[in-house]
Amino acid sequence: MLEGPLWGIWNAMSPLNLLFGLIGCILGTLVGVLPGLGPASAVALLFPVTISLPPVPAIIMLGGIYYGAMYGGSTTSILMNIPGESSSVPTTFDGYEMAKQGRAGPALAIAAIGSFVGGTLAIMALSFTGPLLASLLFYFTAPDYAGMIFFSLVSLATLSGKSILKGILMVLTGMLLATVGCSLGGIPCFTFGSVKMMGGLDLVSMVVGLFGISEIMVSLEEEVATISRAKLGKLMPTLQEMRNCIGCTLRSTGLGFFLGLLPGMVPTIASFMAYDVEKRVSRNRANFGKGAIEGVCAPEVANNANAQAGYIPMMAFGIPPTPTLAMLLAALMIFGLEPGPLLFTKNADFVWTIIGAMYVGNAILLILNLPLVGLWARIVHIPYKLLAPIILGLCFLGAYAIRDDMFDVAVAVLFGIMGYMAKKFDWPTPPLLLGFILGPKLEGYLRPSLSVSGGSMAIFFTRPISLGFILLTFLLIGIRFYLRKIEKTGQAQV
Amino acid sequence: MYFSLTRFGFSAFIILYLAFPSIFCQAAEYPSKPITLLVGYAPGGGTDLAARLISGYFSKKWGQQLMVVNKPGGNLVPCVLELYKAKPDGYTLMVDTNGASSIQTAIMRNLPFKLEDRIFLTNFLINPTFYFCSANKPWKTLKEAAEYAKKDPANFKWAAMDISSTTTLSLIQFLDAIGVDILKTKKMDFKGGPDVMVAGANGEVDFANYGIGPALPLIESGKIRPLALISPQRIKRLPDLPTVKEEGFPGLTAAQWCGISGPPKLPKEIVAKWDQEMKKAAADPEFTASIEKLGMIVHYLPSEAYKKMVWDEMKLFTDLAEKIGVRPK
Repeated sequence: MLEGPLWGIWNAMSPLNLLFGLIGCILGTLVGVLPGLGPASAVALLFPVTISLPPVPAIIMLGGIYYGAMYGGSTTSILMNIPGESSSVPTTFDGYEMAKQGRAGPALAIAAIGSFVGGTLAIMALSFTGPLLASLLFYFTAPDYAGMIFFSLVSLATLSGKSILKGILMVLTGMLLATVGCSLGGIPCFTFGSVKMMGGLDLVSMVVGLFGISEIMVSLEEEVATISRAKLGKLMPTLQEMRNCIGCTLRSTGLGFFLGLLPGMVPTIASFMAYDVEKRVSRNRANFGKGAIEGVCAPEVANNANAQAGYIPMMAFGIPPTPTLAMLLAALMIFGLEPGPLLFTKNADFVWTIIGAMYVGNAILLILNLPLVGLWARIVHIPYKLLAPIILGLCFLGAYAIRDDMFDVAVAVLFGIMGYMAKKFDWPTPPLLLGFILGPKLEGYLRPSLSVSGGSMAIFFTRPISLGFILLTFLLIGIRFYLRKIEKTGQAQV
Repeated sequence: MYFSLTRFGFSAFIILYLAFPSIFCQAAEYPSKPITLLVGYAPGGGTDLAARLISGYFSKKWGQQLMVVNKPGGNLVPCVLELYKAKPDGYTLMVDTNGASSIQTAIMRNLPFKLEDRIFLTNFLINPTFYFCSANKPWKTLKEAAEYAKKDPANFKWAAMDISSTTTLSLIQFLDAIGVDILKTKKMDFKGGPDVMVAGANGEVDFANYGIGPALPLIESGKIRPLALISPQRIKRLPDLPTVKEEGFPGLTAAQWCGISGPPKLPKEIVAKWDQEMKKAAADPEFTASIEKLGMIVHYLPSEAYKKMVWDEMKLFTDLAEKIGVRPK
């Protein structure tokens, strides 16, 4: 008699479960590959269909869409410098460089393998610790989150640009753009009297504009995208490259997993953080931004580990860390499978089957993605004049689908122009995205912290977790200045 | 050459149908084409789920697709404006809530539409919220919590969300009812439901309010202590949890509801159709069971009663908003 995880895997391999797992993984990969279409909208669309299915296959399918999208997001990042999901933005930094050097194959392969390893390690942690780890989130209070986000903002501001000042300015612009809309008190901000603007700017239109439309504009200007001229090269990474990625994979899994346990720390934040960490600690750090394979591996590992870890607070306490998991939670409740500690005892069979399905799903995705590497890599041989309108159409579709409104398409076009200008004048765009994502989160934790302390900043220095993050932030700034000084004196001597 | 009457008739029908589809449609009974259901919230929340359940149920029953279209953000103003601009033919309706109707009118100024123009078709559910605190707080009942708030209002921390949410308004209503000056208390503004639940569970706040459905796992795990349900009746899932009325606070009426609303000048026949159909659905055990699984209650109200409820609530919230200075007189 099989028990626990093994029983779950066995159960997840029953023909019906396997079929729906496969459907979910394929849909997820597709949603991931297509820029602008995210897992949250795909799950929302399929929601009425799934609730008429039996519970187990339905949850397996929705889960497949969620982690499938994490796999698929890297494909266009690497091949066209256009991220399929916001969580794959950091993958473009080195992935596209690799593709330009004719190493698209190894980049795609490492993204798939890294995703598989990161995902699987995270599920193993999930199946061995169960709901225990979920309690971690109760140790974090508002000031602690504020400290953590402050740390992330400072450390990520200088991620991809050469100039620290430009990076910080872009982060601040992103934070400012995020305030467009209605404040918590119901007061319109920066809406210029327009009701559409009250709804705010959406992340999707920002991502497809800044990274999709602008890239197409730049590529069309260069007439032939440089990448099409590159040779296909070999498809698999070398053994040495794989070995180099081991440390990076373990670190990124840990980071992605930890962030996944906390509500609001979405995969995008995890992948940026993982890239940032590797850029600092990897032995190959000098090559980051110039086609380092670790730079592709880190974000892809982290976003998968993050996506899988998100199941823990969702199943243990009904607290969904991401919007997609909120939909999954709702599906569980409609099936009468209420999350909570009792789910693990009362419906242990169900829990193990879902966990088993995650193992199986990751294996399916690896099998699905590795042979596709050759196929995807050939996409770049399609003439760009045919490819560009298709991608542009998908970008517009994704923006339109946010709330069935042309307003968001117009916003995407404006972001496209902005991204184009930024590329021309060498301003980094990823910090803008980070400011846009993290700014409202910082506000969301700063406000309650300061209202409880009566406006005193001391609250951030009296709690161990938030104090820790603030010290870490200053340490980081200190190290950076120290390294700069060494660099300068070194150059002077030469 | 031969002539087939059937073939001619068939082709003539197709050509006529394609050229003037309305000839054939007008005769058909409502709904004869897909209906758009606007939802002012992002996918995954309580109202969105209720809308998706309604969509699934009536799509099957009527053989016409009900499409849920999410228009989140902007304190629900963009979504409501979209409804008012729609053609009043019954093919664009909105899943209405307190936030989109009574609270919005009470809190916001210069709205680009008027509440009195809206057509209220039928109310169908209550999504009960509940007052709660962390399990490590000393108070066990709503009355004890009230005593504590009265004794030391300056240290009474409560979790608010954005001002257009029913949960925030009902917390303000509670503090007002027990005679505590809201401006003296510590109001902590959180951005989302999960944050409120976590802050409630780890004791970061003393008092909070949230939808009972999503909080069931935390109640079950003993992390939070439910104090009272804001609903006209108890829920099956937690039969021991008393309502606010039973706890001695009959004035706390800010229950979170969902209804169907339409654009101005919507014909009476469509209102009647929805009213009848929703009444039937409310008596259908399959429909009620799917709603109850989410921790919600089926609560059918016909058009007139629904409208009256919204107006009463609007007046109540306007008074409250003026009292705390959200909306200047």
